[in-house]
Amino acid sequence: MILLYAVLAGLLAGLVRAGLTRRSLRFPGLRLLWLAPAAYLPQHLAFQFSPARRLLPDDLAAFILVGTQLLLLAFVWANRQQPGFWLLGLGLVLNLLVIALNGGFMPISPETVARLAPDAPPGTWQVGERLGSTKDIVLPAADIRFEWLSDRFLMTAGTSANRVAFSIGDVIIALGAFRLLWMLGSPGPGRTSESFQSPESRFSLGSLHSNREREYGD
Amino acid sequence: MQHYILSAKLSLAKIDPRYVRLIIALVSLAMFVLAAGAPGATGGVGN
Repeated sequence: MILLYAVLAGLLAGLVRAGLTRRSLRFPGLRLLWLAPAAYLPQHLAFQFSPARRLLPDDLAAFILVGTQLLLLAFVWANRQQPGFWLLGLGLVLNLLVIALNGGFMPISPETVARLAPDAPPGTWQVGERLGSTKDIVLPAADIRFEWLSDRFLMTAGTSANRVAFSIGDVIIALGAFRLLWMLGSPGPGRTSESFQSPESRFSLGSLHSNREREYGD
Repeated sequence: MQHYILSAKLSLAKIDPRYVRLIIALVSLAMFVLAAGAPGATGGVGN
């Protein structure tokens, strides 16, 4: 969820930038866009969708996590010329590296879990096991390969349900998403960009739509 | 029935394809960050 906040913040920043500088909205034309849902959907089934995640053995879930992140790596490579993608790629590679080196799941230390879920009844999580239905596996800090890349940072604001542990790779991915969306308000259309250039359609997506309606005589 | 199909086609034709592509790109980016990132929530533990 914290990564979606970065997308929302970047979108807002891009819209505000376009509005303040009176520029049209533009978004880079991305290649192999289908790879993003192709990677997300299996992960959603494996880690979010309750009926499926109960049926999947851990080995298969780990395979899905690593395999889909390789798909995303191909997506990043195909779009490496776009702004922000080198950050997205760096964060992805860091996460993929620590996941691949620790059995196919993102490692998290017992100390971090204790701070993440201080009210968890004894026995609800165990060292060496996956943490609930997440992508994380609880491993002793000393046994984690590249521990500094693991989920070691905590955001504890709000209720216990909103607590989240995240990695340095997640932070870099969030920065990359923000950087890409900041481009929405950047000057001038590039060769690979799609501009929303029209006198009335600056800044607001709503105005773009209503502008189109006027064009069709509504 | 044909009237409804025609109405639906006209309604869809009014939507700017650039707007649709922008929405698709944003949704895909959201999917990318969710799949690429691995922030660990409690996953039902302790809630």
